Amino acid sequence: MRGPEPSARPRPDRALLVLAVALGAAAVVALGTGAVALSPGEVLAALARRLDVALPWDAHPRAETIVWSLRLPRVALAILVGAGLAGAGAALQGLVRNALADPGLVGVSSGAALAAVAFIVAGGVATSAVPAALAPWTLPAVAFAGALAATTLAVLLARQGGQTSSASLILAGVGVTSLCGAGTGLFLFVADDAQLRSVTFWTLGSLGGATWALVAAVAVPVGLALAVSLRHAHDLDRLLLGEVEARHLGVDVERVTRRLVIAVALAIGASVAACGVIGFVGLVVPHLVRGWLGPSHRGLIAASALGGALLVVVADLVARTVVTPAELPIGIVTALAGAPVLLVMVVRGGAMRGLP
Amino acid sequence: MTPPPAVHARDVAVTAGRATLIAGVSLDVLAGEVVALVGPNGAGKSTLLAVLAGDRRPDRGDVRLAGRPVSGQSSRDLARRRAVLPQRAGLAAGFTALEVVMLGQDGGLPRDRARAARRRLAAVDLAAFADRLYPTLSGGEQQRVQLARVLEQLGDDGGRALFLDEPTASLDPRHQHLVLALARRAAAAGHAVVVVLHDLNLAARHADRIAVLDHGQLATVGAPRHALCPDLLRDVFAIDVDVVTAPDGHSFVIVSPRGGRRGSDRAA
Repeated sequence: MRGPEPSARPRPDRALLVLAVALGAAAVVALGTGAVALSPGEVLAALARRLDVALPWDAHPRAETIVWSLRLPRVALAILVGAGLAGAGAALQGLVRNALADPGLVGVSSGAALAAVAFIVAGGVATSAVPAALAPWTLPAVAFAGALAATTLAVLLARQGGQTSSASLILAGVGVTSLCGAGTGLFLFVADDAQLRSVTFWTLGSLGGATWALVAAVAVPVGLALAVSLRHAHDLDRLLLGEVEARHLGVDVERVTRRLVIAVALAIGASVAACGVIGFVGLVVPHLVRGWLGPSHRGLIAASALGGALLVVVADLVARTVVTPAELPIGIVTALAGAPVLLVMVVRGGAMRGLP
Repeated sequence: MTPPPAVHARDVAVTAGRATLIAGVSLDVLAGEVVALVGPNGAGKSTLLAVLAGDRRPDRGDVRLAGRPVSGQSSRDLARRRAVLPQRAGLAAGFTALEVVMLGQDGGLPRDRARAARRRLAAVDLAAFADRLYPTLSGGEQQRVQLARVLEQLGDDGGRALFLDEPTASLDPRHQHLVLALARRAAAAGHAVVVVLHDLNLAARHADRIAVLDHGQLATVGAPRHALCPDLLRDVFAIDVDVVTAPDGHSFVIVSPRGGRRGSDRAA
């Protein structure tokens, strides 16, 4: 009558194992794909050699450099960004008890993008004041601030009488998103050609800028956000009963909300700062995982993180191979894959699952 | 020195805008006792329960659980001192009945937790429903799952307070008595129980004392045979009743067919 009977649900640890294996396989394929094609064996040998482990077969002479310097940073960034987007999406959906609470739909991504674009176009003066050691962190910090401001605004606007209703949250999100879009448009209007090119990167997304420094800069906020979300997984489960009932069970609703909003903004802000807006990952992955594993947040957040990483690794692989030598913005790939899933969710009424 | 009452309210008043919801209610409930709150619609039963449970801050008065003031306690501290069954808990997510019950638990090994939750489901007569998805259950079944969750939070060690807001609302007669028997058992384990009821006979059958609330004030508090007096019920509920004593000694309220004749007076 409503979804499969739970006896059909796999155990979360098995699902995590399946996803981890799939992610590993996708990563090996992605590492082997490019101008110089490498077999999975060559990829593994190249990975192992840097770690001083010799595998009993030979790799392409330049495989180690290609894998470690060129492709691994990009795949690592894809994993982090995918895990951050989908893990944060799962936490946000639980927090507001709405399966439609995609970071993109509640204004987080657009807030981060507005802040990033404003910084690119008008922030040149500010950059010169930042010490060189902190320079790579400036843009992520700005995007994070924009994400936090937009999320807070949307959640505050949507709160009525201590409850965050799904309809008001989506309406508030639409309002905040169009406000940010108008602001972004203003900055685009005054931007020069070079700035416009880097702005296109922000609005459609690309992992092309991946470096190890960027990977490190994204790993910290994404790791923190996932840790905070997993720590409050039981609180999120209890929040599904309603805010009053969660409070009866001892959940400090205000504190949990505050922490998770910051965690979500941290993950989304860092992701948008590193590779622009990649839509639908934070919406579609948690939804699919919820249908597979059930609504319990510990498994849901962990599996969503792995599933999001898998999706972004594959989407990036498609984005950079389908029109070689050019690259498709990855946001177009995820939108092409994700938008139909969203429409199916709406038609089947699944989008409203989990509402109070 | 006697321990402080499990639930203590002194001169509690609640207003909402210009309306007075509770006007100076004082009530003590002891550990081991079941007190039924009855009264007509709008008398303030749910408001009083919310104040006692710490959900709602009274505008005036002192509320304590086991001697500690309720206001200022964190939700975590309060959760260790009392459990609350709301009138209806809206949970549409795809949890199983067992998972809903386990939401009432705090810590413990997964296997022990599942076993304890299954026992609790068996206690509310839902042993076979553990793996059913909560949204597919009937209203009465959902209510009993929620009760199991609340009892799981309360535990069996006594010394806490249990607040039930119309726990029998959508239950058949057998399960109405089952739920109140469970409230009784919680009291026997050393908890204090406050239960909002509409059915005076259920209250008479299962409560140690009945508190009759009318227009935000306590009309009377006492053992069923004293609280359920025909004159008082006529004043409060605007119904004519006969109160008889059942063979087992419990009071029994029979509403006479002239019931409701004063309804228009009250509305005016």
